[in-house]
Amino acid sequence: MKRFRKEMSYFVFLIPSLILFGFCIVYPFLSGIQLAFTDWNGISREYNFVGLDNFVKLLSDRNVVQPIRTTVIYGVGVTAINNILALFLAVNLSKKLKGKAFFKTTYFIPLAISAVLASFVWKYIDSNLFSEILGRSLMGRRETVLIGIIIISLWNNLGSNVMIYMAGITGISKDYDEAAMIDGANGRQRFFHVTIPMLMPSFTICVTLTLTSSLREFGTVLAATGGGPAGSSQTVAILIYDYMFKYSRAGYAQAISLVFMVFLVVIGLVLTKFFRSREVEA
Amino acid sequence: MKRKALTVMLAGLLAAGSMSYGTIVHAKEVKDEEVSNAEDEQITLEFINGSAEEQYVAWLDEVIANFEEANPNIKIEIQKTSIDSFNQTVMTRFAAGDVPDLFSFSANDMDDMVPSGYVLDLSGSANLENYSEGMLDSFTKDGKTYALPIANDFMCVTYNKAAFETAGIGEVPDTWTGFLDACKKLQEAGIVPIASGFSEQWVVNGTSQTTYCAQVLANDGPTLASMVDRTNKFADTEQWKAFFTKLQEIYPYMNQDPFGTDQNTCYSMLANGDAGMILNGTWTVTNATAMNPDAEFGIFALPVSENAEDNVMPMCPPESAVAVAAESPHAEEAVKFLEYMMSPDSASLYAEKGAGIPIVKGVDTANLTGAFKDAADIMNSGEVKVISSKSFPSANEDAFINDVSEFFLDGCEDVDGALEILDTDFDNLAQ
Repeated sequence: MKRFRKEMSYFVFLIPSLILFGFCIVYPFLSGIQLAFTDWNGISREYNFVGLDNFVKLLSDRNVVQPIRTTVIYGVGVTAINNILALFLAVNLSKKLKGKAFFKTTYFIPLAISAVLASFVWKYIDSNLFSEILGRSLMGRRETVLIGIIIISLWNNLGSNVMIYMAGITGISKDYDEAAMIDGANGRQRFFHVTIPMLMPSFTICVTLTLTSSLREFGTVLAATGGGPAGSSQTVAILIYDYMFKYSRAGYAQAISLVFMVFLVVIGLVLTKFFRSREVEA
Repeated sequence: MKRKALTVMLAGLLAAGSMSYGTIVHAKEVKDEEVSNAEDEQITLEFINGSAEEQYVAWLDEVIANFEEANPNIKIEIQKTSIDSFNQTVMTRFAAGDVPDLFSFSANDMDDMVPSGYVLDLSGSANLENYSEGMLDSFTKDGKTYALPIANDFMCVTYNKAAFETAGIGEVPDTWTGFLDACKKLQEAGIVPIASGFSEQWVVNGTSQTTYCAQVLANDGPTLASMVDRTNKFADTEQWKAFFTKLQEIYPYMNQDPFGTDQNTCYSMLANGDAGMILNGTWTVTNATAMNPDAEFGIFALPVSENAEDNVMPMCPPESAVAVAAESPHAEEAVKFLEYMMSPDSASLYAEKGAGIPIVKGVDTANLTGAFKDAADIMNSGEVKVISSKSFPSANEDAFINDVSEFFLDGCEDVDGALEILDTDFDNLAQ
């Protein structure tokens, strides 16, 4: 009884946060779910329940094919390049290097710039510099538009992963490296057999967060290309926005959001499980 | 134990406090409202304005100042919203029951907002007399008018007069051959004939609208509504085939890499004489003038026919206006302001400020110059062809923009293929 009262006293401290969490997160989330089963147009105060109609329509909607393809290519591309590049920079910045603080700051500064501003800056560079060098801009062509957007995303977001990997590398005891060196391991072997396994917790965070956030990409694409040219950079998030606000099909947009959210949760869980299983105890 | 009891009590109070705060605020608001109504004090009307163009804003500020001076108990509070998030803001506000008194209103929203009972019926307004026949059609449903426009934008060719002179073009082209000839002369003079900022999708639509308003809608072609409901097919319509052929012919005269160029760059090119023309709405004039106030521009109808007499300016009823919320607690005052805003005096001021082409009767256009003078002359001469709506519904419009963009990106080679793709996409949307 005494223990129960003690635990209850802890619980009371959580009440203000729980109220806020319930009001700001749980309630909108649950009320959003029910909209996926309606024909709400996004503005009317009345709507009808249509059962699973929105989900059935989604299965035969040709408009979702291109955005899914774009989203997957973009998500995988950003995640792979971002993490490889961030790891490379982190490894080098963890060595004794002149001007280390300057480079760290340089990689970190773009994080403070909004996706919209970053897109405008790079759009200008693309149409004035890249078009001069390459003959045509990257974002003005269907074949290269995603490369242009991936460059913006990398420039804008690379810093956070660099920091996480650097923190991970700093946390690895020098003893392991020295032991491997004594055993005759060269630099490459030490990197793949000591550093990488010890960095698995960082991979769990960086890969999972980068992939799930890039699959949800909205702001950068909207500001840089609006989904064009000819819909070639339209992501699932932009498709949802279009259905919700432009085409007045909020119920259907909510159904797509729900399916997409489940997809993201599954991806996140699978990735987390995969990397966790490869983490080693220090 | 005492300390523990005290902490528990304080935490409980904190939770209760956060809940009761909302109640206190609400009670205070109700009390304030009662006082305000009881004493008939200052009334503040909220106006969500979706237009951020400099000249429009300057005009609106002056109209508001004049109105507030004449009506000291009414204050107009403008809420500026960017055009990108305008629909989102207005729709969210209405859906939540937090309605503004006045709001910029698009003809595209008639089918959603009027049946929902959100828009006040203005049929009793004396201002309706100030509009020519057909000019309020896009805001009229079942015989009731729901919004009043100040101006009308139409799709035309805007040209730089100095660039035309440099290229040796003495007269504005009035036939299709003459138009292509003018493009050739500009190109030979080292001037980009047609500046196109297709990196912004609305520009693809604007150039297309300029072409199909003249080639399809003003040329006895089917209405856009009949294309949407699939009564007519693109592939079976000669005018639509001619539309793509026209795009094919003008494409070589556009700037290099149009899909990597934004429209502001194009305005700048036109304003500085680096480009000769832009095919888009009349707003091109105000935007280009902002880039170079000394430049002189002119406008003319895209001459799609070889017969000069057929090439009159296509014009459809305006698509943007201002409406009053039906649920506004100050609807009477809001209508009063709207009527003042759309009065001939305000419309004259609108023209003087160079904000656009007013369509309210009784406007003094004597002080207009350049492209505005051209526009006024066209309006006064009556040499216009009233056409049906130039805009597709949003979903069809996006499909249309994508398909026309594909056509351009593929080098404008396959006209029949483009018509077929449009039919396929519109068929899918109709289902």
